Amino acid sequence: MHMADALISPAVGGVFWAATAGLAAHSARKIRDNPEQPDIPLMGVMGAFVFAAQMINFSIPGTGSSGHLGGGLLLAILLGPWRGFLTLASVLLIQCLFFADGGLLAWGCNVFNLGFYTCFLAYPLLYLPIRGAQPTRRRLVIASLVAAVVGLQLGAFSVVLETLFSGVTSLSLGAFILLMQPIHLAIGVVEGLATAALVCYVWRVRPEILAPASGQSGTGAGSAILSRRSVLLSLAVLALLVGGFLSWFASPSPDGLEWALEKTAPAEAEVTPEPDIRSTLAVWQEKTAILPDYGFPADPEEPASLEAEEAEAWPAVNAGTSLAGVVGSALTLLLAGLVGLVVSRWHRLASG
Amino acid sequence: MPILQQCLTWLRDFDHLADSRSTPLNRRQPAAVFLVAIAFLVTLMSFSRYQVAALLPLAIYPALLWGFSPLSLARLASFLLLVEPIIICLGILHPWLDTRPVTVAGFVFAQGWLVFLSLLVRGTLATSSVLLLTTTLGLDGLWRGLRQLRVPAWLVLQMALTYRYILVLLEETERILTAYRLRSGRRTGVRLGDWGSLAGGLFLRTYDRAGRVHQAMLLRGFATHNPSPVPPGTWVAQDYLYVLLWFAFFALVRTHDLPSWLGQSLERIFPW
Repeated sequence: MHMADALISPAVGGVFWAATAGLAAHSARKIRDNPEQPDIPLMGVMGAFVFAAQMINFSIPGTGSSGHLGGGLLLAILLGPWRGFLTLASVLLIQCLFFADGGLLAWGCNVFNLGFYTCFLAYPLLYLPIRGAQPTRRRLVIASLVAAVVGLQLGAFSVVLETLFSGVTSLSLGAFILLMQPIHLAIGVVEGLATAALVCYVWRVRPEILAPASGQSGTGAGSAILSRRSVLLSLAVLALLVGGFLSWFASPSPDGLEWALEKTAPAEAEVTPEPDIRSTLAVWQEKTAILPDYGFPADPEEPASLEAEEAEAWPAVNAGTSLAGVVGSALTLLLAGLVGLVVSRWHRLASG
Repeated sequence: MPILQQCLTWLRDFDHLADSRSTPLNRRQPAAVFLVAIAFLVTLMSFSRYQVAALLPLAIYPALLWGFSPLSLARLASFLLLVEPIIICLGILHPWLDTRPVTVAGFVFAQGWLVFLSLLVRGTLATSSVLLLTTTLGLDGLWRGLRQLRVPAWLVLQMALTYRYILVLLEETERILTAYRLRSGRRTGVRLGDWGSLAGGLFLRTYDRAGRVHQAMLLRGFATHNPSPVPPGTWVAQDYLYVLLWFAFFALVRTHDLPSWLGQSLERIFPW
């Protein structure tokens, strides 16, 4: 479920980078209250453990396929939500930088999709209540399964929204949901089973490591349990993000005030202003804006974005890309390749 | 080759790739190199989904990085092959979903193909630029760059530890899996019933090791909440110039369709 950079716009990437950075800073502050615990080495090694455990594929009976561990929920269970979230964030950055798994611009989205829902929603709201104060093997399995499935479903839905808000795909919301949610339901079950198997083993062999049930003392790092306020804060962040983004999907029709203004002052629209500094700046702003009018800059190669052209008869649509454009593109690529080759040769010669 | 062995081979190679290299890029402050990489990604992703040709001049950036990088083209391509299928899976639906016709150089085809091509180009450029950035900077440059960009020291240290332990734990995982395979006949994969104890055993050893590592670090004077900072480094004129030139180039590509301009100029000189 790691999103690539190709699937998101800078605006969406930036918003989720900011949200993730905020959550990380808040988590770090929470961890600082517990200085006696071996934070950094434990988190570092546990991050590596999740990475390694993901390599142990297990066969799914009757399907011929295999599955592996996800990590977000497991880290929350073993380290607590704050440490779990930060550990997952660093694992995802390493996966992005060293293994090209998930993009750098999309890092915030990936941490949010895989870490926020599991650590700050599924873990405190589902896993902990189902596991209860007196965990049994059955409770642990059900809690892991339910929390993993719900966490992954929310993460997958988040991927759908982020991709659609980014405007890089023509898939409709319904089609994209149908593509993503069922497959992640299956993956969630697999991840839940893997998490449950590991948690049950640790609970049986070294129960003190797992987050202590209420009232019990424990030395495990998972003792940092989210307060009700923190859960509410998480939900508020989520609501803010969704609300902020949903506003981008607001109707393209004018709102009440705009409609009233249009109706009352129709003549103004026909006045063609003299080109002045403001209009020149507006042209430049349109050229450089990343999301002008909460959409992409008007593109001469984008026939679909022009509503007027939709009415034209087929095949009157023309992308405006002439043969010259194609030749220019080929030459540009050739030039880029040549630059790389020349620099590489020169550098190898220079370094002997 | 199984993915675990691929990871191990790559991590072992990576340690040697960028060590003790001295290229013009390695002499730049890592933060400058990082800033340019982020500006590149932002520029690349700010184009509309129907633009393909206008993206292509941006290929000069990863091409230059590759020129300075020790990464071979074959190794880079193998990474791209891992990532591209995801983009292809999502992109290939577009020609059937977005069927409005467009004409390019006299050929009429579904507009969705433009989206598909655009996704492919973006995916290739973005993935290759991040990988090339990492291999060009090397581990030391990477951690220094993150610190210079004000990423908290403890997070950088944690990442460095995670990276180091990934190699150790992958080797341990490989030994566990080999032992399991040798004892399980022709069966491929691990039975779910066994998975818990296999991964659980690995976890318990890891957990105990983390405790020992922490004790050893404390004995050597490590302060958990105040890890020693990385030297900040001083920017010189070339660092500013590097950032400014790339920013200007990205702005030029973003505001002008260079391939079209190049093609039209050629058409004027050599009319076809």
